[in-house]
Amino acid sequence: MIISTVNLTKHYNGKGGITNLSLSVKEGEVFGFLGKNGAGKSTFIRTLLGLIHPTSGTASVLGKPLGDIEARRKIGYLPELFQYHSWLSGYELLDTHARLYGMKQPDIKRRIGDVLDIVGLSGHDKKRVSEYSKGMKQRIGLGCAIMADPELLFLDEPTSALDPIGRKHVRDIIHMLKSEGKTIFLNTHLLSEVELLSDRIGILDRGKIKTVGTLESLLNSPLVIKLGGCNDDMIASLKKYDDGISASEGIITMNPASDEVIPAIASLIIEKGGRLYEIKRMENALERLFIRTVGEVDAR
Amino acid sequence: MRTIIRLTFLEMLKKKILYLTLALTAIFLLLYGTALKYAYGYLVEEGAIVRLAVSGQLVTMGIYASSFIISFLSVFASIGAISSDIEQGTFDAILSKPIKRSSLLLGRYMGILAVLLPYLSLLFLSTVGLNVFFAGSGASIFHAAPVVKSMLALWMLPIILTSVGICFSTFLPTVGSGVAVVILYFCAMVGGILEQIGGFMTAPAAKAALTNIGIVTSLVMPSDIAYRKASSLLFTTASGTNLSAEGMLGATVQPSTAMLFYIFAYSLLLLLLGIRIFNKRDI
Repeated sequence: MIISTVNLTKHYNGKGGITNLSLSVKEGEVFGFLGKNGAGKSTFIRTLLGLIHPTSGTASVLGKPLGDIEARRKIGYLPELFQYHSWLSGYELLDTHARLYGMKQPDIKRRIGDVLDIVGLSGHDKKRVSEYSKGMKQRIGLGCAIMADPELLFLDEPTSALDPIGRKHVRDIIHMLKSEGKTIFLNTHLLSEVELLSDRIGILDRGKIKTVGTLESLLNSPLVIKLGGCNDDMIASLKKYDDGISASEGIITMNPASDEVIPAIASLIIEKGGRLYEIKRMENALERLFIRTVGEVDAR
Repeated sequence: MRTIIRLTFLEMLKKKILYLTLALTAIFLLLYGTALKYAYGYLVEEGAIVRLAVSGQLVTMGIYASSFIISFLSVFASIGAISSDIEQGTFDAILSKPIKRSSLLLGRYMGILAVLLPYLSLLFLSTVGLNVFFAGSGASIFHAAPVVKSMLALWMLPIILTSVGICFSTFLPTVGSGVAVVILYFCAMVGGILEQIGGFMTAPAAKAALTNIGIVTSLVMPSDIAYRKASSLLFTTASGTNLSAEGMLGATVQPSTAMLFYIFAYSLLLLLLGIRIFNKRDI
């Protein structure tokens, strides 16, 4: 496991933070960590990075104990807020972070050129970071995180300051990093980002992990079929794919075990005299899961 | 550590702190030089003893002002060296990299001294140089060896104050550590003045009381020792006679060599304490 925690706890003056958090992240996966603001997501990342000391519990990152210098050589981190020396130019900032990783010239110069290309800031490297827009700052921060070509990336709200085009750009970078086999731990409260990027997700609420799993296993999003000519014989036949099927006013809602059976369902509807207009999984499934998970707690 | 030293140096340059300091120092030296020109012009008509006494006061005043400037620069540069970056969150990205917290703290320390020590040397030599230039033969006591020794003794001032400032910066917010270091500095200064006054007293009880106050304050914060040592070294002739100006700013009571070792041990201890606190705290 790239990240492994057992009952990891961090309390501030006896409260808040994270409580008994046990989690594992596998090599090469994008793990989406969801939670409301103040749920403890950043505390978890900062504990894993050794920036704050756990109150109790054990954890390892890249097989090393928390805060290990050698492990940090292979870690990239984008903090939640822009927290860099903004009086430096973009080039100087990347250069400083490369030196902190122990990189040597001329590797640094070559890598800075590559990173500027990746984050789309070529031509802006001479400008002071304080003169950058919010989106540019977020991207130079991402550049600092990927400077040493890390094995593991912690991205804390990487798209929070970005416009839709900037978000897509960052998503593309994350996809690229994933395709290179990097492990990415993605902290965000933007459900759409998680849905688009993550292999597995975890939902954190008030410092406690509520659920962990793959998107498919957790979402279990029902199939919504818009059709005409719905009849009892058709519904009876479709029950072999889902006993809990329901139908009303030209819409059938069902939850087959796999997407593999969708073509067979479509054929059956037509065979039984139906007119098929649309078949799709119900939208906002992650949002519903999130509200259900976090909301259940709120209701207690 | 070299990256942090470089970063600290760059910060002073990029934030224009260094340029501003140099510009204001030039103004200070211009005013001081102008005063010296007229003062030494007047002294030409006086006898040798008066010339020596007044020139001693003029030099002492310049060195004292220089030590004051360097003290405050040391305090302002160091009190936020750790706390300010923690408050702004800039250490998050830095300390997630493969760098030890001790290297970060020592890098900050050395980076500040890399700017302050050359600056102090420039200021000190300019102050003495102006006196030599305008006094002519009246400043003949200034030979190269005591001047260099005195300057090196004054180096202890930023070394001490930066150690204290950085140590406080590891557990206090920037403003808090600033207040604490400035109060300690003034306590040391007052203690040093009281010790000098005690040196002139004839009543044994009063003399002992004032001297002891000076000793205690210099143990708690030895910054005044650095100035007194520098001053006494500057005015000590080849024959060993101490011509320091008498009074509050003089150094007729010389700090012992043991105090110099104490200063180094004190600074080292504070740095180690700072590293220990910094290692244990959350960022």
